[in-house]
Amino acid sequence: MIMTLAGRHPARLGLGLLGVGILVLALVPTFASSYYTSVLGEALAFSIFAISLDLMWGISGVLSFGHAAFFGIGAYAFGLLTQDLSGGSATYIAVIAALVIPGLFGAGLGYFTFFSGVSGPYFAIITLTVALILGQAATSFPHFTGGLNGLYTTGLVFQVPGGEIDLSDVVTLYYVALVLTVLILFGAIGLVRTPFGQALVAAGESETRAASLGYNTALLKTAMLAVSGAIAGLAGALYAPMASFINPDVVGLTLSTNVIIWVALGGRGVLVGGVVGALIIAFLSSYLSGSVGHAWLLTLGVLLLLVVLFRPSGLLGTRAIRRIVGSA
Amino acid sequence: MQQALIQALNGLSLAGILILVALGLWFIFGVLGVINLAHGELFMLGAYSVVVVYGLTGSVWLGMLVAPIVIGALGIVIEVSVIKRLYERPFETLLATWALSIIAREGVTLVTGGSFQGVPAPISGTIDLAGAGYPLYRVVLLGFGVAALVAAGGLLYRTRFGVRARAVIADREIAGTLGINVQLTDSVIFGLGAALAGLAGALISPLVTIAPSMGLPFVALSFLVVILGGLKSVWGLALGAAIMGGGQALLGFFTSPVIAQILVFAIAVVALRFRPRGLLA
Amino acid sequence: MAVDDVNGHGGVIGSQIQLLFEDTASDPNTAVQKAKKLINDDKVDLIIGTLSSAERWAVALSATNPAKAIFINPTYYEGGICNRYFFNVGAVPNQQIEPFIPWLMENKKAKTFFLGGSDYAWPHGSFAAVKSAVAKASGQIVGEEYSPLGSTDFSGTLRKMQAAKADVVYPLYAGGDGITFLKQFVSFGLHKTSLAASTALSELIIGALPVQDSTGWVASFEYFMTIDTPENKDFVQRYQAKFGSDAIMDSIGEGMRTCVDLYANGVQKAGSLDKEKVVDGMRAAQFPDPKGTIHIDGTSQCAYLNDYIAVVAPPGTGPAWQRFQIAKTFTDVKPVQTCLDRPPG
Repeated sequence: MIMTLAGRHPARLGLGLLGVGILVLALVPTFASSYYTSVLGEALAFSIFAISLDLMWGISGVLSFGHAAFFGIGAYAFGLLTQDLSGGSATYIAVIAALVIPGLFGAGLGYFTFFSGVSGPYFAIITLTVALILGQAATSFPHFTGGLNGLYTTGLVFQVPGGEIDLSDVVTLYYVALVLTVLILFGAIGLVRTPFGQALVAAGESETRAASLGYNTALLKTAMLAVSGAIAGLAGALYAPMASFINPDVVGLTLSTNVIIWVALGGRGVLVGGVVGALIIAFLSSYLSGSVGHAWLLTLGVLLLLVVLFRPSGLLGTRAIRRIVGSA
Repeated sequence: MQQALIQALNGLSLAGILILVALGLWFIFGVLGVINLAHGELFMLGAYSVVVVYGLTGSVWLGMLVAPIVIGALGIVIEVSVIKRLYERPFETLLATWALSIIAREGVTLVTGGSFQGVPAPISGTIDLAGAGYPLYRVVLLGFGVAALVAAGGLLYRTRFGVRARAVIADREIAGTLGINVQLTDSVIFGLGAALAGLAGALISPLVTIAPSMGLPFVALSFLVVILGGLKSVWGLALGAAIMGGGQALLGFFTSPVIAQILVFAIAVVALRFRPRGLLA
Repeated sequence: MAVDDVNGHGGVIGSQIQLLFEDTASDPNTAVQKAKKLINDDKVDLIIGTLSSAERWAVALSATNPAKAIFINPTYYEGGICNRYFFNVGAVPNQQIEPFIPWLMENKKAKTFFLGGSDYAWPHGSFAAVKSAVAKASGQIVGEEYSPLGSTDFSGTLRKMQAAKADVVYPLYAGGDGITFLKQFVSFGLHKTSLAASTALSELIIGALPVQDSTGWVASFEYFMTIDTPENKDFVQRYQAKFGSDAIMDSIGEGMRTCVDLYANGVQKAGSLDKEKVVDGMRAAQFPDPKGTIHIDGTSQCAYLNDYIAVVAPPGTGPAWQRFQIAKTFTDVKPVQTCLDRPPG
């Protein structure tokens, strides 16, 4: 029945389900304890991060194996700037920095790699190495980054016209995250549907064909990496007050590979797949930490293997949904 | 002069370890074009094989003999069940092998309870090197590394199997039409690569703490070595290993191990970008 | 076991203690979340625990301090958390190190020291204390080197140690790295020319190495299983009766016991479960513990602790934990720490 419904009005069904999902998420703080609200809030930050990865991977066909570099740079930039301002009040500067610095880093990395023909697996390995370098640097330069003990981002207050947003309140942060997630999801979908996005979809499917049509694929991919980096940085900045501190975990290999798992399992190339993947898996991972944690990770590994072998597009990466989003 | 000699040896012993790990990867990546992110775990399982055999028989040498056989067999199983379906799909192989590495790591953690294991060195004792002791075992390791390299070269350039393997590297399709059983060659090569990783893990086991995550540091490093060395030649691999291993030791001596590690990675990234086909290309 | 003891004796002014467990997987982010859960959702009266420094600071700064929740730490760490609701019964560096260095120099004829550690806060903090103690005693530091966490090869550092010909090599590497380092230390033959002495050579580490290699090594902790007091002997006996005759208890595990006892005594003194009264009660508490008599220093809210210096005996004298022979006891060492409002870099 769902398939026939989908067949007739796929966009409407999709939108409807999405609306229901958002509604449920919006109601969470009313019935969940503060612990679960905070965990889900962090999962929302991670889903923004997943969207940023999917823009590169599912849409543009470039797998970044060290994407947490951008998330972490954003988080650290946000954290460092809010420390230096007396009283720890967050301002727009910190948020803008969290967008711009990772974005510039993405542009630089793109220029460094795409313009010399580095692609596919080589790009993956380079980004993996970058994540390792940054993780090590974050640990070993504690004067700058707080090392393993991390930077603290407690008690932040955000000034907006009409008052202030208290960033140490779990529920407030949750709603900020939810609003941002929705905005970025729709923004990203919109981006995919622009000529820029469509060119990247084409390049992702076949680079040679796109190039032969006159597209400067290297420039396109670099631009998208900058955008993706900026979004990931924003997710990092959002995460910082939630976790109330930032440590090298936000920039390292584990997070980089986790986000790949979320997108791979949730659905690649549909943007919303990463959101679903992040929400479910990040939430369960928090819930199941500890001794059950290893069994849970093992299960994730098995699931990932099965998905790759038998359903590479992931849970939601179906053709129908890809068509709605504009990536197929 | 003395210090330089000592540092050179230090660097070489590191390179020796790296060569062993990277050699296995070279077969899999260089020959089959498969990005095997589980290579570090094959290495780790090799070390654990020694632990098991040592526990059962009290002999570390026996463990080192058994490890490559067991891990090689495991490699063939993996190739047949997983990798075979994913040739020509690099992203999928990346993910699938990463999934396998997670499974291996978490599986071992669950089985061992996350405790650290250790085995004693089969050769203890030191040789006198410029007035200070140097572990004899490390010298032996270096010897093993070189021997493995020579053996690999011999296999590829002096045997019939080697000819077939090189044909498959050059062009899979044509190799198939020439009557070479590409499927079989693939499995054997993957098994060989896995066996080498297992051997490397077994040989290193007396030197380090054996833990489920011991393979992780080697993954990135060995990929960089393989790519830097170039996918076409085994000797390039030696060069890559010497540079990465030696570089890290040398820099570590003059600065600190931390800075050395960051610098070596950074240099590798830059080199990769300018010479994606390898330093000798 | 500690909780059972307390509950068996009538509980805390009549109420029984209930233990809630949360596993943080040594991840600071998880630790903070679980701590907030315990405070906000489970409404616990106090939190004890955390192993790594990163977790400890995270929990203190992000969870317990803002919520004014009582947090008692059992493990030795670099010190610095100062808050009315935070108590520390583990050793801070000066307690493990200040008596240790002069003893080493006197009894082991040590003049030169080479410091090697993992590159993060705790080794840096401890080595700062070591350097000042060595300077005070007119000793000499001939080397100091830090390695990244997860290092598998220490040959560079070991060569430098060989060249420096230090009397004492002082390793402070985290967890598994410590074992790796010591294995390689022995493989280079360095154990024949330098003495390994440190504030990280615990029963667990020594147990992971071949027995004959570690003879003569020296460790300094606030607790060893071999402490020869009736209190401790009784504790070890009961512990092994319950958990197995091979069960090892290091200073971290034993510290948890001290946390429970501190709280119980605090409540006793206060005569109530009211948080503020209990805090004042804990500040004034004094009670016996397997590692000595515990009372709290008012300035730092850390415990006065004995420092035990133990030498590892030759093999053949029983299981690993029994090889630590206490050579010297320094009683009631006062904890000294500098308050920081952020963790040290």
